Amino acid sequence: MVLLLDTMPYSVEMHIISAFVLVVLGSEIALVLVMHRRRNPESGVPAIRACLVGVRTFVAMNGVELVSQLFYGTIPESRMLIYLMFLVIIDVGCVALFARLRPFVRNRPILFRVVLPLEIALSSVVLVFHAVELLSVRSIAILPDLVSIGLASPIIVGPIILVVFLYAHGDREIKPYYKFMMLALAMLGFGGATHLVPIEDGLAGIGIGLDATAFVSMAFSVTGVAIFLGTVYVMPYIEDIYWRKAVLAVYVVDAGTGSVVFKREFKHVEEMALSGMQPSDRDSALMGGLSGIDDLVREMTNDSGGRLELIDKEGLKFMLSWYKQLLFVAISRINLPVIKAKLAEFKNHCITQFGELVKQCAVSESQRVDLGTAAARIFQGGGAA
Amino acid sequence: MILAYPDSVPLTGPFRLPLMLLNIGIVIAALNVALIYIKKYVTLRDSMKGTRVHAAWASLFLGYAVMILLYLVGALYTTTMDQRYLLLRLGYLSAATGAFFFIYYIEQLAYIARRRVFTTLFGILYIALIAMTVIAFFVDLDTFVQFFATSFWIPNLGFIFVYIYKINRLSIGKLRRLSVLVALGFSILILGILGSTDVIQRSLGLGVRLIADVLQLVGIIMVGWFSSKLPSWKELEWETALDSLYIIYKGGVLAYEYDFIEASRGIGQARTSVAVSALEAVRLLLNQAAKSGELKVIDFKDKKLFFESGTYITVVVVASQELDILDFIVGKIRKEIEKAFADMLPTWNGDSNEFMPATTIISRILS
Repeated sequence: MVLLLDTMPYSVEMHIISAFVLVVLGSEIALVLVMHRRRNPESGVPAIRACLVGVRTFVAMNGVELVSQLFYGTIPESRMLIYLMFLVIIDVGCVALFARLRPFVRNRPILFRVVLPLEIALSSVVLVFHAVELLSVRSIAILPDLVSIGLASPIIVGPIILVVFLYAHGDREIKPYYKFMMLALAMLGFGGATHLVPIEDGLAGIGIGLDATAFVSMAFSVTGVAIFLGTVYVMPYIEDIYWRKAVLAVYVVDAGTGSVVFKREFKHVEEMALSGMQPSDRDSALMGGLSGIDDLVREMTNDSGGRLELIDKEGLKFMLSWYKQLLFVAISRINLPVIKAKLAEFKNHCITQFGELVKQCAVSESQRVDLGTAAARIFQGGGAA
Repeated sequence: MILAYPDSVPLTGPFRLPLMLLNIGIVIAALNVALIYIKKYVTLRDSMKGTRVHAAWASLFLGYAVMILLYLVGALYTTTMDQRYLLLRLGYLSAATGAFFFIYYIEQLAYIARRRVFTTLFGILYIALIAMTVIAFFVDLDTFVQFFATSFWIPNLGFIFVYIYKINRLSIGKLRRLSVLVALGFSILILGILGSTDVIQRSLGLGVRLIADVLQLVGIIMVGWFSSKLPSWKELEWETALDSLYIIYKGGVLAYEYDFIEASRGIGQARTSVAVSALEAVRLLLNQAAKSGELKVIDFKDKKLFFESGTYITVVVVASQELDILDFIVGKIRKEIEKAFADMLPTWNGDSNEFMPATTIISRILS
């Protein structure tokens, strides 16, 4: 076994560059996803686990290719061997991917109980066939090439469907990032497909040589993985995406008297880590305390500090916005600019919709319902009161 | 006589593949560092922690990554020396563009020199380089451009080291060590860049180039890793953000007041005493109403109050900015004061003069 270091055929060098970049960047993507999962154990775990399976398969494929090309790249027969190893790794990846996708579709019985178990069984059988082909260096050819490639396609089609699903259910702010991910996956799929031996041979048959195919494969794969990594990095933090889960309640308070004009709780009291005292007493204590702090600190700082905007009480953040004597409060687990912006949106809605009535704290029951609907729409993305 | 690389292209022989993979690694590492800073710049732009320093680092590493990529293509995939020199010139231009924006962004913060001396100086050199790059298409200037591009890095490196020195002077404890490691990383990177020049390769061979590339990779990783852990300028200038400090004894009695602006112990105005005592009462009320933990920060538009509660006292610091480091400082002040007054605190008689030595403790912590 000799390590090849000198000038190699162009196509082999392109495959080495491609495999090296994909291994390095793929490992980095896997690392970033693992860190995301650790930092946010409650957010999007099934999706991240499924992504991790795809990325690890991809790293394994390219790791095998890199080592093989470095040692056997100049031997023509090595192409077929690398191709068969690819197929085996993809089959293992498909089984793991379908297993990881199952929790994601738990509330869709047909997918959960029928489709995915069937896919796992099918990929397992195909894995055995491909392993036999690999061990015999394809002297035993069981599956036609087109069937093999078709059965390997879920490794890239699966993540694309997952990203489409996330795109359909994601917040407006995050959607463009999913579009970039889809583009990256499509490029990776195209780059990977053009590297498969039957496709390379087919293209050679119509006059496109191995060098050109290798360059195209490298260009698409490297660009795809770079876009994917760039998107994962530049994408807002996962807690930004899931900010709606962090908002616990919204209040409108008459700061003059400390009385609550309107309130809407999005989570149960225990979840909000608020004390178990009577809701009316608790609200009075909280809101009276908030408006009291505003008065006291303005006194202490000779009115030079502006108005109270945030109180950080370890697990709870009280975000405040003022309109004359009215105090708008959002209670949240984390302090994010997006929640502040949503509170401002809610305040504007209240003022434009009810104007003087809100100012005079004379909101009727039907108007309260309307405010509840607005709060649900703005903070939870829903419409029901 | 058969000429070898760097006097003939492409690079062949046993060094081709290791140098190729190593340089791809350098490009990936530099792009990664740039990407991390771009993300910081974009996400922190409107926050208290965001500064143009992130954009500065991003542009420097982006320019460097493109330069190495062009060098790599020039060494491996060109067939004539003219083609290689063209790619080298574009590489110098790319690195110089990154460096120019680095200096521009940093000096815009007015922390290095208020008259933008470095931006002006480097701007002139940058324009000269652009002009030479264009002229070199028509006149053989390649060696001169190479020397010029190398020499004009001297003011830039001077600037970077002045910048790191300033960070070092402003930092304390672990942050100071981090700034030393950034400087060390830069030194390794520069050593690597020097080792990869044609002059060194001609005299010492490609083995040295291999070592130089490893040094560049190590240098980038060090600079990227440690500089990303350094706080922003706003964090480093925390002392200017401090307004006043209050020590409130349990039950809400104002025991001590310190004014950072006048660097003196407060005179304890009755109005402030009442407000602080009432604030402590409200804090206790909030703690009863919401069980989420202790009150940490009260954030007004232009004033921030940091709280740290102990067994007998609560320390409140009023500051003009919300900085992570203040949380640490308030905690340290509370611990040190509770330790120093451990005997007196359980039975304090209400005489605020007994807290006089606190001034020394606070001054020591802040220095």
